[in-house]
Amino acid sequence: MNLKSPVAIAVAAGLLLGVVYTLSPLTVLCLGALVPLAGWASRGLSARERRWFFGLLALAIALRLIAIGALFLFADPSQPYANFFGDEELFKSRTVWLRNTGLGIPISPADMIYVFDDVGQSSHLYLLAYVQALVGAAPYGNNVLNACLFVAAAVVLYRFVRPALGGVPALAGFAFLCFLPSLFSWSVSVLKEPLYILVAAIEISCAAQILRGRTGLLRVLAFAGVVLCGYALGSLRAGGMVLAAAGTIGGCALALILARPRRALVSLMVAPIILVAALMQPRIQDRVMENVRYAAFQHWGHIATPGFTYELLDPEFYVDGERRSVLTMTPSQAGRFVIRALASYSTVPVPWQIESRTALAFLPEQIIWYGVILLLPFGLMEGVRRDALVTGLLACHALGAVIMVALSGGNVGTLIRHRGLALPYLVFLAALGGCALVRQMAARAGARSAESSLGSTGEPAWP
Amino acid sequence: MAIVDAEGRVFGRWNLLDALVAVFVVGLIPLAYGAYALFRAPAAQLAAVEPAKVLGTGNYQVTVRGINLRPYMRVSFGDHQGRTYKFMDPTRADIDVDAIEPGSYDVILYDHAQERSRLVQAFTVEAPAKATVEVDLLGMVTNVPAATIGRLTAGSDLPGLGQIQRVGKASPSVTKVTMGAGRLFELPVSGSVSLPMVVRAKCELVAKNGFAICVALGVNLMPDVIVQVPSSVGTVFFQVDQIRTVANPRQLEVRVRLVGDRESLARLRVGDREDQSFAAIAPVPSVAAAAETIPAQSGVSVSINVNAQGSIDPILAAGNVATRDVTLLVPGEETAGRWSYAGRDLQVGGQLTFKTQDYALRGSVLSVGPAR
Repeated sequence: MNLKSPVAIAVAAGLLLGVVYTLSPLTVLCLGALVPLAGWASRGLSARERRWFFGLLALAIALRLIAIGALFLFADPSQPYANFFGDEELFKSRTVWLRNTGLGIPISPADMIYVFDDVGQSSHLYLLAYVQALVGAAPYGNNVLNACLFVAAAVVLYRFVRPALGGVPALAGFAFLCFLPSLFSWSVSVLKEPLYILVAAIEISCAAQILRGRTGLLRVLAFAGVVLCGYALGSLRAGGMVLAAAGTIGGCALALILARPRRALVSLMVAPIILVAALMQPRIQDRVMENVRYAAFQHWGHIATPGFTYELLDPEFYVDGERRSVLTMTPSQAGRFVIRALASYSTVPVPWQIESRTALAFLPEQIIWYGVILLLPFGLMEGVRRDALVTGLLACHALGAVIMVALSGGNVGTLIRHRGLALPYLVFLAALGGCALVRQMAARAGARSAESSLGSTGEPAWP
Repeated sequence: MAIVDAEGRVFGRWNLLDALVAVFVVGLIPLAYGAYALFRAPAAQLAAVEPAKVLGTGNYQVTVRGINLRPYMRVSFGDHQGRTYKFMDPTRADIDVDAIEPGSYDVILYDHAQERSRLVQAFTVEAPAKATVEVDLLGMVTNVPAATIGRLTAGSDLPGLGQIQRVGKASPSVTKVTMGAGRLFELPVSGSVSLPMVVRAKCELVAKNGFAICVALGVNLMPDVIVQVPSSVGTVFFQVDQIRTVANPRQLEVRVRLVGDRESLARLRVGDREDQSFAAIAPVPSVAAAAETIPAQSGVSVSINVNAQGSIDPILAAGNVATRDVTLLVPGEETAGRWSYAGRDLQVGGQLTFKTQDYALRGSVLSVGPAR
């Protein structure tokens, strides 16, 4: 028999697939699901861009599978399974208990107490339980599922951004998303971040179609998609629905305003007046203060958590250990709190305040984060020029996540983790800003070679 | 013939590349088996539980034996989760078990996900033998409508508590109500009556906090507690005043030296009876006679107690102190070789307070013994 014949290869591939499916059905199903997604995302790409896209995608998947494989191989045999993060225990055990309860498989009475515990409730638990009801308990398959969800989210965002902002910024953002260490870590875990980011990516794609849909039906469906995704986000994380709504409304409004220069100019002049007039209303003042105080209350709670923390309030609020003292905050104190919160969101942990070796390992990514912050203004300006709607949606979705996390944060580790909610939007704008800077620098230098490497959309050509 | 010919065939028969692939595929089989043997988690199974029977008196530790036990496993006894799971080795684990109801239980082994092994009805908790004793409760049924009180007669049953032995004379209802620690008030309840009675009650001896207590209808029997009892006139409240053994009381002659202000002592009369709630029907102490009326003496020393806080707690404050020896006839009982009356020890040298409606005098016991 000729081993190189198509039949032999098909048989061998089938055998291999069968063996792998027996070992981990979820791995086969998830990787299989990525194939059509990648095919869809690669439509319309040039041959070179397609090679880059598939290369990055394959590398992203391979590195994640290697990480999960290493977790499996180096697991402590005295424990049922290994985790990257302590919080994963909740998702791995509780989802199996949930599945077993649903299937009528007896579980320990002690575990039954935690199955429906309010603490840590999210729809992610039910998704994992459902998946495991289909394919069996999958303590490491869940990691693969989440890795694929995250990669899928990156693909969806890439596809969303590319037509509007250009190929290079989209691909650079895609690479950032796939290989930024912190996002890489969350993506191989069983935490809810990957699913959240995927739903958020679908939501922002739908949001753009509310204004861009070719037919009325498409626009209605897009709106329904935003609502559904918002609901799903809310079921994954408190405030998800608000973030989706604010991001969509803000992004669409920004796009409409920026569509006409005169409208933008008038808005620029009128907006501060409206804002000041609104804030002078006692009812609005009370409402704003109530929300800021609530955020400060949450921040105070984070200060009391283990690990490294940072303070945002005036010192007197931390002196007597009374958390409720923040509820007496005056408007000026609240103003200082908000400013410090936004500044800390951008800078914490500053390199000279890093106190542990573990935190020191985070330094390279922190430098990248500072780069993202610095490139943002350039990305926003260039984005508005190229596609105000997509730029507005990215900016407003990111802004919502930034404000929510910045005002309530207080623990450095939690801040870094929750910055991941805004990063998927910010990295594309930063990548665009980087491309715009390169183009401007090249133009100023007057280098003909640099000029000639610019593509028709004003972005660097493919290397 | 060349070993590998011009077309890459070994001995002219097999293609070298194909042979390598075949060797690789065949080589995968032991590799796969090795991986299976290395990574397969062998199934855990329970074999026995020791001890298989325990007496249900409290918490206990049991050992489960089996194969392939793991540190993260848990064991339950029916629906009762073992409090701990101390992994000793793959064949043994120790479990602390909280007190559970008597009965037979399945011993169930769980891993992190689900049940893995079960020993059916392998663990039995035996009920400890119940020790039941009879006591006489002296007290009164309170807050009973006057119209129905007549139905509570000697010989009536109070289900769950016992049988009425004797009843006294009904009087306007008074209930002893606890108003703060150590503050007991007797509060009248209008429109109803109280009926003193002696109830022969059966109560269960229960060990609690290192003490043996007597429990009936879920209530620890002791003076002043109220027991809610179903009866022929509906549910009634029986308030305990004294608890006595069922042995017939013996008439004791107790000689007491009472000490007090002269004016108080002058109130003593032969025939005075102590103000016990059951005085109307039970043999109660009485002043049989003043054995000797001691002339008033002045200058008798007054004893004082110094309490733990260092402050002085005078047991007697009187300006014109006198003593008076009296002989009391007391319905007492002998328990553990000692005489007692109404829950109070009667010992020579011990203190005794004699309370009537009119006065209360304190004294020390000079002698105690059966009445002649």
